[in-house]
Amino acid sequence: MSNYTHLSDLELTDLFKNGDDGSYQAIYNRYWQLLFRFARKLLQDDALAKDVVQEVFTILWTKRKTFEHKGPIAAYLYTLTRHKILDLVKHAKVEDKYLVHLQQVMQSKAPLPDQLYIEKELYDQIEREIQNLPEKMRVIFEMSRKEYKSTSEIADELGLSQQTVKNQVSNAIRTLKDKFGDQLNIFLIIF
Amino acid sequence: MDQNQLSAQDFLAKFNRNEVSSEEHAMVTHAFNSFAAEAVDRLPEIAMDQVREEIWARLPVGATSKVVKVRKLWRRIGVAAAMVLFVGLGVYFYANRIRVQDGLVISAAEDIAPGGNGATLTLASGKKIRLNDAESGQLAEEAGVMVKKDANGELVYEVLASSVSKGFSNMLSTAKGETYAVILPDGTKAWLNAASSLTYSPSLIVSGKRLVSLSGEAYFEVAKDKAHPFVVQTARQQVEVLGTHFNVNSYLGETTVKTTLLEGSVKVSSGAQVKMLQPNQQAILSADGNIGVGEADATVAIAWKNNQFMFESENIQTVMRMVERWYNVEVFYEGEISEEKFWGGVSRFDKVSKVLKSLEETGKVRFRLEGRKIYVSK
Repeated sequence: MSNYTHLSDLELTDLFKNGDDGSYQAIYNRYWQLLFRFARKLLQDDALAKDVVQEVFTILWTKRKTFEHKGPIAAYLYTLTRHKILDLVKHAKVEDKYLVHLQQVMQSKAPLPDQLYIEKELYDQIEREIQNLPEKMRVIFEMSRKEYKSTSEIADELGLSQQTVKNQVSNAIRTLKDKFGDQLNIFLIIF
Repeated sequence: MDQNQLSAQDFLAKFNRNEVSSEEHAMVTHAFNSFAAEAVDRLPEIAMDQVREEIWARLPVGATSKVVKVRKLWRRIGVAAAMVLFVGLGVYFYANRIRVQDGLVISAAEDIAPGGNGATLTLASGKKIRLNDAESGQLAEEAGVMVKKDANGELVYEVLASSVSKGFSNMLSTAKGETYAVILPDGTKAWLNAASSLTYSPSLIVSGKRLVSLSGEAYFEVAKDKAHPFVVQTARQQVEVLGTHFNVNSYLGETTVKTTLLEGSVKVSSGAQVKMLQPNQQAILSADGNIGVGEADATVAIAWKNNQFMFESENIQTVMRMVERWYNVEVFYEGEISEEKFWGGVSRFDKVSKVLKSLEETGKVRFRLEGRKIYVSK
């Protein structure tokens, strides 16, 4: 496996798209723990978190011959992870807290940030777990990202200038602050 | 739960059925992200290596018979590599003393103790029970299991067949540096090596077969029951038997899955390939999905169960992975990696210094110890 650890995410994604079998395990080794730590934090349940990671990588496996996702594989895995967590939250003890939170967002009249910002937000939330990885794993992980700049990636993917992306993100943060100023504190208390 | 929460619940259910508008989608995902921003992991730390192997074992990656690139590098083809004989077990070692200059120096305080008996039992409910030397039979009433020592002084965890609801999985798992023996409800005995896990339903029977799922390494002495074949499922292969003694080594970190038969007969299958084994034969499932069968010294394959490290023509990485799992250490390589093959054995009751010094005596490899990190150089 060691020959895969120095590949960037994009190189790994290309290998995977081209049917290289070892790349699947390399992607698993690189990402499983990040996703697992994220899922267990959100579900507060080890067994459910394992199910999330299992389902995410099962889907990736079934897509190995038809994988067409453009851009970083992380974005694909993260989105799947969120879907699986939302699907399983009904089995978790944290369900009530999550529903209270969702209710507040539903009742809020403030405009929602756009999809681009929301995906960036998810990225940031999951990648916070990088700091919790064991040292060796974290270093390899960050090496794999050496040439990866998320803003430029997103800009390329959506055909926008980098400045536009940055502006959109900061606008969205402003919207979010107006909207959640008080509620964020509430969540600190109840969660 | 009040009315408002119910509607959030319905809304989420709608989202999960993929029946929402893009704006509603944004609402749920955005709420999720802000929830994530405040979430704090309050669960106790767990052994991540084990979780990695456990989830991997549950993935369908092994279910395919697709044959891909052959990576022959690791294969035991007739490479005229110098065979380095290394014998631990004290006697030979001291009789043939060769002093290596600047060899490994480890003080008693720095030395790392070997692993021992221990495991964690995770019940279908999610409840976790630590099993170790200290515990007695009192667990039985609470969780439907009995912990006892058998005539050989081995610790045994026995499932009381009637005790737990059917169809839910129990998992017995060992961390690095742990080993454990279990007697399953059908009388089958399984020894679990370090960093391994065995998952099974309390009744053991799934669609007419006795089914267990393994990640890592275990030795089985299967009780005879012709009506119910015993199946060991690992990530990449299946072993099916009626009653027999065999060892399965399926660590995720190893390139091959090795199944060694001591008694009886077994059927090893992976994808479309099926092979039958005779006693003292070993099936090796390689990375390219092929199963090869050859003669093997079964005592080497199950040496771990008898508390010995034994290897026959293994490279230093394979040897060190065994050390990693038993001493719960991390191994790093400095500079070139030795390509020598190592033969030999030492007791698993010895401290790590004994193992490393024996290996150093070959003159082909050197070690440096820092905390729980072992640095290997040529």
